[in-house]
Amino acid sequence: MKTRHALWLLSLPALAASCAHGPPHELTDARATYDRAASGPASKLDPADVYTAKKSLDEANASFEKDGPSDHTRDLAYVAQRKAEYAEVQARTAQAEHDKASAQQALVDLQIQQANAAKAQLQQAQKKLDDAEKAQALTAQQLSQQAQSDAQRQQELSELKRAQAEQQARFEQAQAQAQAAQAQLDQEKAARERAEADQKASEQKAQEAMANLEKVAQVKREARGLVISLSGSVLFESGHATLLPSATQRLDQVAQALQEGEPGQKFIVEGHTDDRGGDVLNQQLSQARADAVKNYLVARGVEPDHITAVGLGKTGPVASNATAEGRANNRRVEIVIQPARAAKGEQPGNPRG
Amino acid sequence: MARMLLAHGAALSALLAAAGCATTSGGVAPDPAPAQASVRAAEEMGAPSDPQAALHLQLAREETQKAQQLIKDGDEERATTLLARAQADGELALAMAKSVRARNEAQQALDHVSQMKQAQANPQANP
Repeated sequence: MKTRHALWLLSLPALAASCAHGPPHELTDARATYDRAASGPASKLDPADVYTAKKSLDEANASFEKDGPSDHTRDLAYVAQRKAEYAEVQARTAQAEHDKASAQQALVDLQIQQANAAKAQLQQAQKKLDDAEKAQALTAQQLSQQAQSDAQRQQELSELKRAQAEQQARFEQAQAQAQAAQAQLDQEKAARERAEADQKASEQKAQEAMANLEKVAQVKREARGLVISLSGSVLFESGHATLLPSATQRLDQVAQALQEGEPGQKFIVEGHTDDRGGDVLNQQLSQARADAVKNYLVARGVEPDHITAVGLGKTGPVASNATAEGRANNRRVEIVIQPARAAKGEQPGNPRG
Repeated sequence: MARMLLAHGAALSALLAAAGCATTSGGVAPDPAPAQASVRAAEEMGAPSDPQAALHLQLAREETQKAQQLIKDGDEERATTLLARAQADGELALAMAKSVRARNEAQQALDHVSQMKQAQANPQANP
């Protein structure tokens, strides 16, 4: 193209020589338009139309060379310019179509990209949905297990409450029993204390009575019981069974001591003599004396069912009858106070153990 | 269509060049049909809507009318030349109208791409 344009410039003088006038403006315009088209996008996008324009311009130039700026030359130049413009317009159209195709391809690419993104989002959403459903199922299962656990705990709680109530009832019962037992214990203790006090008092009384008795009689503790020994000479005249007036004071002491002893005690009044005189006489005397003492004691308040009298004659000496002192000791009345348990089994007249 | 018209124009130019300038086409009567066809095609393509295309469309119409008058007057040589000019203007008007349409379509496509890119960049603004 540039070569041709340069050739045209070189041929200008020849044209000037052949044509008296310069090229008409139609031809210069056509040349300029062609040059623009040939050097622009049309040379690549629409070379065919540029070539056509070139041929047309060549015709116009040839006409100008031959006929100068004739009407025919002007017409040819006009047509050549239009063809050059046509080539340019076609190039713009081709460019626009190319741009449109590129944009459409880009649009398709974007749509594909958008579709892929939407697909990825859908997959993500689906995964989230699946995860949520799994979590919901797990939550439902956990809730169910929790409910079961709660029910079980509730049942255990009810059991515990029931057991606690039972235990409370047992406790209250035991407490009541304990209180009752305590009350009974207190009662028994009080009774025991009263009994002890009574016993102490009675023991003290008995001791006092015994102390008083020991002042007036000989008191010995033997296996058969407590033995109160009263000399015969203090109680009776010699050979008689009538109580002396002086004996009453002693026998009053004895009566008091017997009454202040343990309840249920039995008494045995034994009459004893020395070995002087006959056995029958001694037996009768000892019996009469025992009866006299018994009767006196009964008159003084000793229970008649608790006291017996027995004459033992000379069978129970406490001293030798060889001496006067011995015989005096043997002449006596003994009152045996049997222990309350022994009183049931022992018979009167049992020898000393 | 345009390619066909273009072929007509190229053939006519070749005939003119072969016969030498300022002479007739060697006995071929001037035919306004190609020029008229280019004018109709340009009109249908919407050339009147574009100023540049409308200008060349008007030129084509005027040149065709003048050629037809010259034919009546017996100046077939001049009529042939005018018809060539009319056809060139008509084809140019058609090409311009097509170019406007193509560029509009290309711009629409580019705008569509731009909107879609913007929408992808700002999904919150375009739910």
